[in-house]
Amino acid sequence: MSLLEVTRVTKRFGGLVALDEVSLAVGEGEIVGLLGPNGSGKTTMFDCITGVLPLDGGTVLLEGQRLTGRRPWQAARLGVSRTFQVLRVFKGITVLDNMLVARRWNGVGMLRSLSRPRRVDIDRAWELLRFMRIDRLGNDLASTLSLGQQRLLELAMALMPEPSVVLLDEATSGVNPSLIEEIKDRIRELNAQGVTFFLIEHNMGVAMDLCERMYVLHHGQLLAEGTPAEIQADDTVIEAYFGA
Amino acid sequence: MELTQVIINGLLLGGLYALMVLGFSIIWGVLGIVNLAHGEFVMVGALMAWVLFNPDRTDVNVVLGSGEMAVYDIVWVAVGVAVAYVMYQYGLRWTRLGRVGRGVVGALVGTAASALPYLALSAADWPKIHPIFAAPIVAVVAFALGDVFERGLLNRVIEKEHLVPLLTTFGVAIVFANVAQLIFGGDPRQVILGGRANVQVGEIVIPTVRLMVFVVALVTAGLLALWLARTRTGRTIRAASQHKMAARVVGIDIDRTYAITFATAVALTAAAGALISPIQPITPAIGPELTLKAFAITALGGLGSIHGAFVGGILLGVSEAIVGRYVGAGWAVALAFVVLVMVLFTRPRGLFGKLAPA
Amino acid sequence: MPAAAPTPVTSTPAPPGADRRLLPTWLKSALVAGLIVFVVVYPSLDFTTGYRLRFATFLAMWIGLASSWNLLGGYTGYVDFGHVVFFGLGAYGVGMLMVKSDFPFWLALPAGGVAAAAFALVIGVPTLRLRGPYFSIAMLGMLVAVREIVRSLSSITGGGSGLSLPIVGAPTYESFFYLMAAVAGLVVAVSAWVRRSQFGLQLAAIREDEIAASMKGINVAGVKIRVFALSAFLTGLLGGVNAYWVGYIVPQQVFLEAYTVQMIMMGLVGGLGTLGGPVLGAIVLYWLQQTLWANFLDWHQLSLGLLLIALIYLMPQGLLGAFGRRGVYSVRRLVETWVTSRSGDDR
Repeated sequence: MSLLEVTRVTKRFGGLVALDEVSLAVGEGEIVGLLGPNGSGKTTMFDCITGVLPLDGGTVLLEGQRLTGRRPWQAARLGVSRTFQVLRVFKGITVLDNMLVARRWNGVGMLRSLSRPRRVDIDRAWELLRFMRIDRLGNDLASTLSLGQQRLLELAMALMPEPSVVLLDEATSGVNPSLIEEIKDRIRELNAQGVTFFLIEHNMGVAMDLCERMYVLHHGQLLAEGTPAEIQADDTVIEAYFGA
Repeated sequence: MELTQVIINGLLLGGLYALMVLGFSIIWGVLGIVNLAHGEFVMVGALMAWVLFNPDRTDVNVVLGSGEMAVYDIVWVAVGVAVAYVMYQYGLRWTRLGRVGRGVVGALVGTAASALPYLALSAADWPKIHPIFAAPIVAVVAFALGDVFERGLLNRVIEKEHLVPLLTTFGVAIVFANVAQLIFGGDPRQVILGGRANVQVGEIVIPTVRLMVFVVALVTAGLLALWLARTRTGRTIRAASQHKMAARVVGIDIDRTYAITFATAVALTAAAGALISPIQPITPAIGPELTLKAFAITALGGLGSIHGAFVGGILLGVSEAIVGRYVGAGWAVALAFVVLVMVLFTRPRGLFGKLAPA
Repeated sequence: MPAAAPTPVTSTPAPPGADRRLLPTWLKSALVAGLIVFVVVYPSLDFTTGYRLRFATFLAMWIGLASSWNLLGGYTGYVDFGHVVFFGLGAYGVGMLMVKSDFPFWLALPAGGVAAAAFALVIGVPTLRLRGPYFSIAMLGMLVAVREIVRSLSSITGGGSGLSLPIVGAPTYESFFYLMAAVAGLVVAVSAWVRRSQFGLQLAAIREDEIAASMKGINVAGVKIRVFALSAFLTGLLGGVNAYWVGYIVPQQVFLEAYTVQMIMMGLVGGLGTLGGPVLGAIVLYWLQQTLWANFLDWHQLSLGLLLIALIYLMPQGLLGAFGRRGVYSVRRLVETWVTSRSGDDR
């Protein structure tokens, strides 16, 4: 059984079919890519998995547990972490506070939440910030960080709750090349330690480099799946990207 | 049948509400600002109309230094200033006159616009001015007031986080309400019209005044719709409301558009207030209640939609009439709020959705 | 279950300055202790006339009001234009329990607060779903509606002529001062606690980006309703004390929109979203009002409105530049943003 199982997921927006019976799976410890031209449904897929959008058909399972129909905060508590295409960090608070917000909130009711942030969370936050090489910015407001640094922060936040799977939506978008390499390195290191990634990536080079497997969407349908080499050689994929 | 009477009352009330709300809805739809001073503009219009109808009342004189001045006179001075301002700002654009020139001509025209009627009224021994005629006078003053306010203050905060424009209009509301309180005191004022009070249709009694206002509301709405659809300014306003950035790029002077829109909307609102003055007693504190109703109606009918204002207004009017008759007056106000929350909760776009001028 | 986190290197303590505060802790404790002492002795000072005692009591009330509004408006970002409704409900709760059910005050007061909180729980469910200005105005509407309903139910509430509370056995003015100061202190203490807690973090996250907060696993709806009820409770307590102190309750006075504006402005002037901001703002604004306009009672509200407009005119940017759960104290930031906005380049 795979870690994340998406089975025949369908999503419609009025008359438009954004996702049409798409099935895919992400195994534990893998780095899997989700590719496709603009408008093919990639972000919609992420939205469906994380509970931002309700499904019109199909199921999503995480480690055998039903994710379908969950609200975003419930999906997050079940172990799904996600970043966004348009960067979403909490600008008005410090970097460290951003990390603390991203902790695992399972079992924290009203009473527990009245306590101060736990030592173990604070330590873990600094840990991750150090790992991302942005710990020196820990006490700065997130708004003062550069775009690249914010992306690193977003990645760190995604890891904070020890998620089962990390969904990265265009993690390198808008970032300069050297930082892209750094982000790739971080992802690889994390993966070596067992973190599972599911990436949407527009940057072909990054995708081919990082992913061991990939899915290609086109007009809401699954066009192809396979290893990077297989995908690159696939004519239908080439046509989807460059064709009419 | 009594229910029919109640419904007719509600309908007429609804038409009036619709007129009152048109301005509010436009400001919200075009400028994206919820005008919390809306009720106060209605109140100002109503009180101004009352003053024009009662030139002989001296209990509302304003004390200035060691002298006193009749509010009636102040209103006419305001008319003069307003006309002068409008001429300066808009009227003389096509002439080659520079700023000073326009100012001078404006001042002359303004003085004439206020002095001539004043003298004429004086000669006729101060007749009471019927609200229907007071309405355009009030509208002119409100237009100028709104224009100044928008350009001077509101425009600076239009694109800030929503709290600031809300607070701005709220501040103005407080200022207006309290100035009115200082001048007029807390007593309710109502224009008492003579003439035939009611029109009888079968068993239904229709107060003439309400009928008249209903008709005026329809006509005004129609004219407004035409203006928005056919004239250049009107179309510019619709364009600006739909896409500010694009409008700017195409060369539309957004600031001017906003100012005109706001000023017109406020003029409409004050005129509606003038028309309300014979129907309902007005106190300076009546503002928030009216603003709440405007909000409820706009939520029901949708932003910037003229049909919406009517449908929403009538729906609220009828519901209020029914609740007011069979339950109690205080609950009628609460009703507006309940409606509001229900609508916002279930259909945040209102019944007609976003901007859709007639 | 979870994929392993990066293997921890030896767990090092957070770098110094991680919990950066403006003032060192010992100084803060000293200040608080000093303040408590001051409050305790204040009524006995020669300096303290009846007028000054009343002034101080009202000041305490406003500090409490501004701080309790700040919980919802500053910390969580939900700008409540009708918040004074809870003040009024607390007042009527106390009033009705004492007058109709012969409750003793010490029992009626918390009950009044609970009544306000209960109301918040009920209306919070629909209204907290509204975004931004819709919420603000819905709450304003709520205020107007409740006022009218209270006025209509004259058999129960005394309607427009109001309710008179028992004077016999009422505490002295000194006692009221202590009580009000204690409640205000409670509000500030709660605010301070919340601010440092994880609950406060959740509120800040909601304020910044509600959707992202829910994506991070925060039960946004649940958190919002809790802070709403908490804020309502505290505001209700203040209303209850005020009611007993003044001795009578009239709908037009306890459900007054201008009070909400005052609460908001105090927070704004001092710094929304900070701890000391509402306190400072309350002191400054209340003092201004009392000294500058004490002689012009009629102008009281008018001047408030004018002040508000002046504030906005002078620093439209500056008013909101002061967010931050922890961070540079707002007055400085306020001035900074004022300076930059004067140079014309703000967008």
